[in-house]
Amino acid sequence: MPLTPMTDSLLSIKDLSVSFRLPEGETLAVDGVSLDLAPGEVLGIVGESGSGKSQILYAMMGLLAANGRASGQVLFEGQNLLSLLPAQLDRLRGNAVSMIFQDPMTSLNPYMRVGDQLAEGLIVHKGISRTQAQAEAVRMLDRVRIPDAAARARRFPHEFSGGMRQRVMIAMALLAKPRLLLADEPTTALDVTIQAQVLDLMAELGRETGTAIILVTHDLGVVARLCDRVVVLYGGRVMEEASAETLFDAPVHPYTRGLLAAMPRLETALTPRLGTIPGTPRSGGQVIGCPFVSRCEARLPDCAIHRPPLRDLTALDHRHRVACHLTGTAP
Amino acid sequence: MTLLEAQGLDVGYKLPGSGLFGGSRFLPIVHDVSFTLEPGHTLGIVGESGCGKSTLGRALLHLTEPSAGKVLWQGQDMATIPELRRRRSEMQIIFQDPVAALDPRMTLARIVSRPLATFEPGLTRHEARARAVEALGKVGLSADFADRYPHELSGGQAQRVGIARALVGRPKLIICDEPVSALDVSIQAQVINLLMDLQENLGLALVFISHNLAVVRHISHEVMVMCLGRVVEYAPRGAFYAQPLHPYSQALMQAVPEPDPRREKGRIGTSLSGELPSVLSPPPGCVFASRCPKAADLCRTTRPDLREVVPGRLAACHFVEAP
Repeated sequence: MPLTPMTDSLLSIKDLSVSFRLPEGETLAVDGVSLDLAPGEVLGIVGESGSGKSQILYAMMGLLAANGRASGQVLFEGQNLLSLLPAQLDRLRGNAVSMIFQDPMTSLNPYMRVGDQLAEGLIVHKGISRTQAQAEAVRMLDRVRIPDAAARARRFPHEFSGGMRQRVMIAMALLAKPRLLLADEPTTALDVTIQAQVLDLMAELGRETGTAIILVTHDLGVVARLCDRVVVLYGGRVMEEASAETLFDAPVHPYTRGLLAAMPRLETALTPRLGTIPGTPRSGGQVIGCPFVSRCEARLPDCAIHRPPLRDLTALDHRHRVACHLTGTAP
Repeated sequence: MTLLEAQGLDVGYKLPGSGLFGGSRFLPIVHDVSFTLEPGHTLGIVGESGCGKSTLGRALLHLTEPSAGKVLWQGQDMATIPELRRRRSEMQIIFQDPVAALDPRMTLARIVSRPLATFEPGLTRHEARARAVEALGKVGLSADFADRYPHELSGGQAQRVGIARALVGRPKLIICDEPVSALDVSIQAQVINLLMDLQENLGLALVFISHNLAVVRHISHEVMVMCLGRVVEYAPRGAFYAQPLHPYSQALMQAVPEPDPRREKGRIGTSLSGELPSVLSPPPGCVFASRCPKAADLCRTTRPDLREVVPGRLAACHFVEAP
């Protein structure tokens, strides 16, 4: 697979596959994904259920379920995360690399005051005193616009609203000034006005600390607001990768085009019906040809037999890649 | 004739009292909602969590009794309709979680035909099954689905079964409570198109409850925006999306992320500040005052009435003017 060599990359994922052992056999969730991320860059990974988008993050952080196995390489600042020992990963997680999840309540300890939870990471990773760490935690809560941060730091998670909890998670994730933040559907459970607040915060704080972000989401609108670059995933494989502008203005892959046509919008002219992709998203399992073939209305006989390689399409964007046999003929 | 009419509807829930002698308390959720819905039309109800939109949806069918006001079904007060259970064949509801709404131990034919036992008790088993197969056909599921079980379905298929069950009694109205929120984008579009096709072919009226303004735009003829249990704006679809009048509607519109990076990059930093007031202690003035960029002292003390700003367009804001 052709890979643009990136000398300045913070993260370089090479041929990452994730499989799970199930009673009915081995199933492949992520199938040979390669991508690069520069320091400070915001990358969106978009896909429907079962596309493997979250498993990429879990594999990177050593958080796969017990029956899961990852192969390939995840080079973070030159170090392969997949070969690290648990103790080495612990030094990295919550320090150089942080992660936030969809449901903040399951990530916060219900028995621990919010301020103490935030401070804990700093005490462990940075070796500063409890008092200093507490002060730093309050400062960070204030940065994510928790009203009356000093008093709030002494409260427990259940005393916070959903939007506030997610802001606490962001405060916690960015406290150690990580070089990479992994966010798995961070705003999916939130109302739109709260989502807008959280996205604003991620954009602002990411820029301030120079933190690179990988945002995993099913929502193309969220990607458009936050991301510099987008990877579209289907059936565990990269279908298309481009800058946000190129992907939304000139999508090439039939799947990307189908997804965009299926999205109801606020500002474009109304059509009598939405565009649709027939069938349902596939999840996992080995395929011989293109994983999208059964739902693709532009398929060629070759698509079911040969796996389309991820090809560079540099006409619009020097990092535009598409895995489709039609790319030679598509506009 | 108007199909459904809400007149000054209040809905709430009884909460258990505190302590040994604490009487039960009443928690009002929906305040003073009025609207009319014509046959074959779709009313979109939009709002964020806790705005009372689902509670209102249930009250419209008297699944939750309104505490004040009334619902008229074809001009008749629903509270006075004898054997309302049987009349509900005409007014159905579908829910957000399509799988949870289906009994896992029943075949799809049984799930879909079951309401007929109430609506048309005279039908034979054979006839009821034929009606179920017919309803499944209307939602695009072939007859061989009739003997399958819910666990064999994808989310989109399960929602189609929910719609088939609503259709089996040949309704005039379906209340759709966040019917596509749990579905993938490509499946969401399929289900929205299906509802629009059914409306066109069967002359159904829909009440479409959703937090998603873009979905509501696509499917609705009229739009009602709710905030903390109150209607803050009501308008025909075209006028509303061209220019929402209430500051809350405007804020919602601004917050929705669209798949357009140029629009979106310009919106970073425009989110509302301030916290949403609690349902348990609603503010005395305007429900949106704590987050409204235009709020004045008046807004914090006096609740604005819902008034007709332009013919056919209502808004509840002290400062709103005709566009």
